[in-house]
Amino acid sequence: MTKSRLFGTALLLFGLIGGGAAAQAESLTIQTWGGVWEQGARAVGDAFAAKYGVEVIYEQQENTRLGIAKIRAQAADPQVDIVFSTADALEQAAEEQLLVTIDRAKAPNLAQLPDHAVRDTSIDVMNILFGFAFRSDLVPFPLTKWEDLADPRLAGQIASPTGQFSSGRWIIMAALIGGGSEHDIGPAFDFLAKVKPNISNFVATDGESVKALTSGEASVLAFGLLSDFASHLADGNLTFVIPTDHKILTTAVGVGMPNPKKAELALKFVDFIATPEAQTAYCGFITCTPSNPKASAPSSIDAFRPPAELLYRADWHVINAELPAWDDRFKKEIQTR
Amino acid sequence: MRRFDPIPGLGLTPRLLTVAACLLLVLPHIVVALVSVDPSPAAHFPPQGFSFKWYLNAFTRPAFREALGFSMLVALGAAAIALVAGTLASWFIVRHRFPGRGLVVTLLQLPMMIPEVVLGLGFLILFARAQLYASVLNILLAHAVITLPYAVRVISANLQTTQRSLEEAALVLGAGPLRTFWKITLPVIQPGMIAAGVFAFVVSFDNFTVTAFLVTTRGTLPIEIYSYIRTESDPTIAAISTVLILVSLTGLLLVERLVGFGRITQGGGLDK
Amino acid sequence: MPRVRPVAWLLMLPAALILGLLGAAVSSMVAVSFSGAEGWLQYYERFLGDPTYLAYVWRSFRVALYATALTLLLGYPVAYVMTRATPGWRRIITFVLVLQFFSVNVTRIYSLILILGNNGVINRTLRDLDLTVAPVRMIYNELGVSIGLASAALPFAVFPIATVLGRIPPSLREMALTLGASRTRIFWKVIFPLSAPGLLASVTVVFLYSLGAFATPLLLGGGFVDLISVFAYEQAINLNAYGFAAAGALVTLALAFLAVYAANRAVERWVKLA
Repeated sequence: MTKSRLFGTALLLFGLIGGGAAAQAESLTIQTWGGVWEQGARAVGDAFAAKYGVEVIYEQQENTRLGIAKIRAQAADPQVDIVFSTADALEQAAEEQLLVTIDRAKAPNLAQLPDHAVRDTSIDVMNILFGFAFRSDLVPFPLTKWEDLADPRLAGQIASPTGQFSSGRWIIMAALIGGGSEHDIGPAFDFLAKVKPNISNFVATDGESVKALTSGEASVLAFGLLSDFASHLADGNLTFVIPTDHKILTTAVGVGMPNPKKAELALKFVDFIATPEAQTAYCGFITCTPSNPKASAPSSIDAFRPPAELLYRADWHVINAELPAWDDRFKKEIQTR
Repeated sequence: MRRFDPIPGLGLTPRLLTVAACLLLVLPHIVVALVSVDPSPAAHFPPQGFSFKWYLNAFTRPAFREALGFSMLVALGAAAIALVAGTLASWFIVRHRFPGRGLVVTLLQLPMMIPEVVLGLGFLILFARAQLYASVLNILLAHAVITLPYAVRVISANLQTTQRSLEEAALVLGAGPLRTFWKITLPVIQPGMIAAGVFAFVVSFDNFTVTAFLVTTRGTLPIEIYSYIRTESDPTIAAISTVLILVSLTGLLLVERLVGFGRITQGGGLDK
Repeated sequence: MPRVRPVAWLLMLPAALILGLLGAAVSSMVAVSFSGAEGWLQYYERFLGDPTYLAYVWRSFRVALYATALTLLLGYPVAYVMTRATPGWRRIITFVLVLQFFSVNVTRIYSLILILGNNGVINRTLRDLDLTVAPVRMIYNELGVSIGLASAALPFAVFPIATVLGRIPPSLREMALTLGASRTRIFWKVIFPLSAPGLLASVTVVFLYSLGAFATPLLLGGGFVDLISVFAYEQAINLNAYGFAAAGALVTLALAFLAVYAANRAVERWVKLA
């Protein structure tokens, strides 16, 4: 190696290290899911970056559980400053002391949110509604109620979520349909057993649940998120149903701050995403109901305004304790041929 | 008709099964190439129009571009490591006789005999225990392990077929072993090394299982393709598949020109 | 042949380092699998004591067997045809096989979904011709996964068999023909037994490959065909349970090696008898 080349290499190395150091100045790393969830997070994150003159970096989590697993693995040296997750996963993370406490005094906008949407270490940004969806051009009859999923005419045409989908909520919904709940899970498996002959395949994530229908691989999705399908409803072939003959399952999505070193900037983001503007923008992409009453939901979900008394939030303590056992049983009894 | 029969005296069953096998291997590529130009996101076959928009989508998506770069980096690195280590090791085992040689030969083939899920899990646990979280480095090291047997196989087969007399002459004339290796052996086994390098590259580039256990934030191209298949239904992957198979086809013809298939199939690459 | 001078062992250094890495990976996996807080066999007891987990092992073995059988059913004739065909045809078949090896596996699985899926080429054609109402299930079951695995494993199966078949002198076959034996009889009594070593090599490679497959069952199994790799991934990545994942994978590995060893012994004995 000649001297000049050595010098060049040294310069290059120096540049890399220097560049790395420069990039570390005032940046906020946001972890979120892919697809529309990332688009929504980017809409808020980019506005935040513009307002405070900082750089925002986006990292993807494959699913909620993996996202929290990553936070857990990095506990000694957190690399993520804001994590998007479901309310129950955030509570779980808080219990494991993976999240920084939110200083409400320094985040005045949190006062605009309803009480249940603000916790010690996380806030709710929006609410999710669950239902089922089908391809009106492929099904033999239009489905209207949960019990239709067990109709023998749908043999081999239903895509079913896995036991772990959305932290076991398909199993909980099945329990509600069968007259039980997360505290009495037995009825879930009676209902699922009736649906089983109709199941074509299983989907583990939101993206897969949408694809099952858009690709025509299945004509019915047994259980899914309204947010995932809202943008497809205009196409005409897709129908989303939230039956009102049973309780309606719902959960919240919010943010938490895993990194104490960046807590100050992260808190600014938490405060920012509580504003009506940010939430309207977020829900514009994700088609959801914002937690801030002053923010507005997109008109495409106007048709889905279920009566408040039917809304049901499952106890995340029970979910976190029981999910592995439910999932084992689901695999043994349902996810098998 | 009998005059045109390429394989006289062969029953119908093996012919039909061979045709079925070749169809199973070739037909998918043709279907994919046709679907890739269908303008509708529903991936029609036969295509109901003509459009390059899925190719455009594939090339403009940053996720695929970054994944391709990542895959190239890892595959080139792993192939380089496997090639150096494989050439030296092959030279050692082919040109030397020593006690325990059989064991060394077996050990060099070991990574190929262990199911990939065990390798992937093993590396995941090893790197976690060693507190190594650098995705690129971890994947590169793991790929060096899985590509080594291929390099060793192809190069040793090549070494076995080359004449040793030249090397011996050089040694007799007083050239040191290193000089002999550099001046005589290396040029002779060059075609074998090219084949070995291509092989190692392909094995690394194609790897899914071991990589899936080791990726953290950035994925290789097969990982990105996999997650796209799971969540999207438009023909973007058909476009990527078509491009990849065209690249493979070109590469394959190039290798065939340079070194010939014999080196690959008989030489050992696929002859596990 | 030059004597091995100690310095020559230095040639092995880079390869030894790489193999050392493999050794470290496997041994740390073994170590973790025995590191249960409630006794060193804790993870193994849990895995072996629960039919839910053992189901992954049996399913993996079953699918690997199907895939191996299918691969050989197609691969053996291909190898046989290759040894008998004209050089031109042999080149074409070789080209197809090597191209298979050179193409990216996940994209190949994707193309199988396009063809065999519920809304794939075959099912759409059947529906358009009014031959079926509900889709014919070709993927999302063990058959689909086996087809996917076989299409990937074919090149690995063909070449070892073709090598062995190529070594059988053609005179042997001609001699049997002149003695009046039928083609079928010659094949089963002469050619097939002589090709046993190549066959065994193919079986071993394809079986071990299929057993550890990951992307194929995930994409073509539809959640019904989760193999041991899915168990290991779920436990290790989703649940951080390295020890339990390692125990399950090692149990499968041990059983697989046992099966391969038994098959080798059985074939050896059979060849001796024949």
